[in-house]
Amino acid sequence: MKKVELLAPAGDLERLKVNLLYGADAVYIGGEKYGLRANATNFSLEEIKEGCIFAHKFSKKVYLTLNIVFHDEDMDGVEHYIHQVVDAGIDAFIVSDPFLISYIKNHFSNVEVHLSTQNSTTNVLAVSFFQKQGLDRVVLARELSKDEIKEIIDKTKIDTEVFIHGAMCTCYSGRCTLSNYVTGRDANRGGCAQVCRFAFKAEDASTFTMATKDLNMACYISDLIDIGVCSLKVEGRMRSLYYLATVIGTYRRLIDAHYEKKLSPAMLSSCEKVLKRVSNRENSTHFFMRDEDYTDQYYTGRQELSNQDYLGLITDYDTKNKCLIMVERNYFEVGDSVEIFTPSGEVFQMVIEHLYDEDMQKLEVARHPEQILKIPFEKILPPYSMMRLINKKSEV
Amino acid sequence: MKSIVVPTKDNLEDYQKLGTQSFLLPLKNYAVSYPKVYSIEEIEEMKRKNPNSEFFIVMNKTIFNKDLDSLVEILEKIETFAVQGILFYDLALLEIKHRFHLKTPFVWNQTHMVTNAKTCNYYFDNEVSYAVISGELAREEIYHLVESTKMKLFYTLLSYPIVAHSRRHLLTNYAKTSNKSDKKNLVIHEKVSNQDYLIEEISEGTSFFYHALPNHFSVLKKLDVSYVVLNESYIDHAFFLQLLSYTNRYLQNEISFNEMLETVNKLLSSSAPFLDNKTIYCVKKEGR
Repeated sequence: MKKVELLAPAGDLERLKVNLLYGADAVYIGGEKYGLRANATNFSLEEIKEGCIFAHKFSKKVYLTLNIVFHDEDMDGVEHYIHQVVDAGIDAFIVSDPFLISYIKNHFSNVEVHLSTQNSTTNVLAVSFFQKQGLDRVVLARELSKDEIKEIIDKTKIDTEVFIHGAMCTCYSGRCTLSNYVTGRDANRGGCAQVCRFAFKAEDASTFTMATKDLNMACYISDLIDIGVCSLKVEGRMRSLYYLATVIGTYRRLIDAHYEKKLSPAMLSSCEKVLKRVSNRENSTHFFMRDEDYTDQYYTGRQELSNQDYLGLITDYDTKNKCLIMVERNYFEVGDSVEIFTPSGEVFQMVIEHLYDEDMQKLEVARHPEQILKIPFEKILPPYSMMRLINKKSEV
Repeated sequence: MKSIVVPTKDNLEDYQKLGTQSFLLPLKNYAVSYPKVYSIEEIEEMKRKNPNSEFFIVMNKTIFNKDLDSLVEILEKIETFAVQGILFYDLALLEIKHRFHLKTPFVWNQTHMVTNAKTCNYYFDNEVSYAVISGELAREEIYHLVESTKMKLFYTLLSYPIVAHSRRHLLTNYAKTSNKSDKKNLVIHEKVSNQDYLIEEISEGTSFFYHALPNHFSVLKKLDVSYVVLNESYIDHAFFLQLLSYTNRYLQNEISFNEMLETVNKLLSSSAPFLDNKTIYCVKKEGR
């Protein structure tokens, strides 16, 4: 049986590595042009090549977004760029323009073409149209229910990719230019200013907002696998390393547990708790099992919480003093209960008993983000292990 | 170049008297973002009553699996009374045209996506006869696209622009959470840009319109397309006819471009947001 793919967003080379180390089977990235996250760091050709070499070493894949809505001026150079990116080792292109599907399929037999969710593909016959153009995979619209997805899979047999986690648009992807009108930034060419998260004034002077809650499909992972979805996609090329490590690591556990028939309600509950803590918005499963309703959105203003659970990135080990070396991200202190988690899925819980600075001077609190800290620990941990808060000393 | 009108009246005489013989009719249950829609029987009747007029049918909603059987039926029905074309958004319609060898001309009408010549040509090679140029293009982009494609084109000259469309029922949801009466349309204001947007909800979801009438008429000076669209939705009928009259008199060489524009400029004060301002693509600074 072919195992479902866990597909992660990578805004830069470090995120690409973290995603793959934490269990993603593939990553999607943006180049310096033609992707829908123009404001992200994005990848140069050299970085694409390095990312592909890294991924292929683990038999994993890298997909490149080429999914802007092209204006004539954007078309200049895109064909040359596609050739360069194929040479760099990319496994698939994510496109929204059907012209590019036929161009890529006519010129390259060794890369796949995936249709972006930007096309908001919602039915069997639209998929059939694109299949005839040579499409390998469709990223389905985020507005679809379980039954609608299943019918598309059953009737077309195409590889399907479905979003499982992250921010949601209020409108259909590709059918929204609020950003263009309000800010002059082109939503369909990488400049989306997320105007659907702005606060508006209604006619009676009350506040009108329509921001969507985030998507979280942890509780339906087994359903998605059972109906035949090929790839489970996480949103967020501009998200932090900690967010990606937590979300990808958690979905890896859920997917593996499903195949090993070990996915218990207790495990699901524990994973959902972890996912909720890393998120800065409430979440919903949106259209998957029911019609959308008022619980999927914020109607009384923007409600986002700052998350300070992430305490630091473990970067090395001091063998002489038997200490983990870490770079601090958020405030913590001696007495706090913490959890260290690693890319391989190991988790170590402990109470901070001793804390030192870079020169082994004793500290009581870590209060300076980016400060190098040392914490006694008996074991050397792999790169990109991280530490997060469980309980403050005052809450224990 | 002809004018084509999205009417709000069933009787087309007012428009015909001014020289318009081409009409875009949004089809009930298959069109979104149009307040006035027509059943297939009403369209058939209008066609019978107006044998000298051209009719295009708008079917721009997002299609779901449950819609497909009835969609095939309705396209086959339309095929029997020979309209001039069908404006489609969802590719399911084009797939049906191919499968059933429909002869009715198709018009690519993916609201914000008709932005380059190569993709227009791609659709042209896939049996699509026309495309409706997206409203977010700058003047020079429009002229370049028109010159570069094999496709016959529509350009929207007058309309409250469609800004966005959602499957969600945003006004029903808003009413539920705020204890307000359940309205099907609402004007909202964005304070930084100082812009108003009209939101309208129907069973298929919610549409957003820019709540000002942008003046695109200056583009006519060098424009060479098959049809210029004037959409009467939400516009006062007498005011609309005034603008239609000046458009047709210019198109029929009864008045000069300058005369037409001078008058229209007095009637339409809102500038077109993108005509002379390209949207920003990449907001990131050079050099990373």
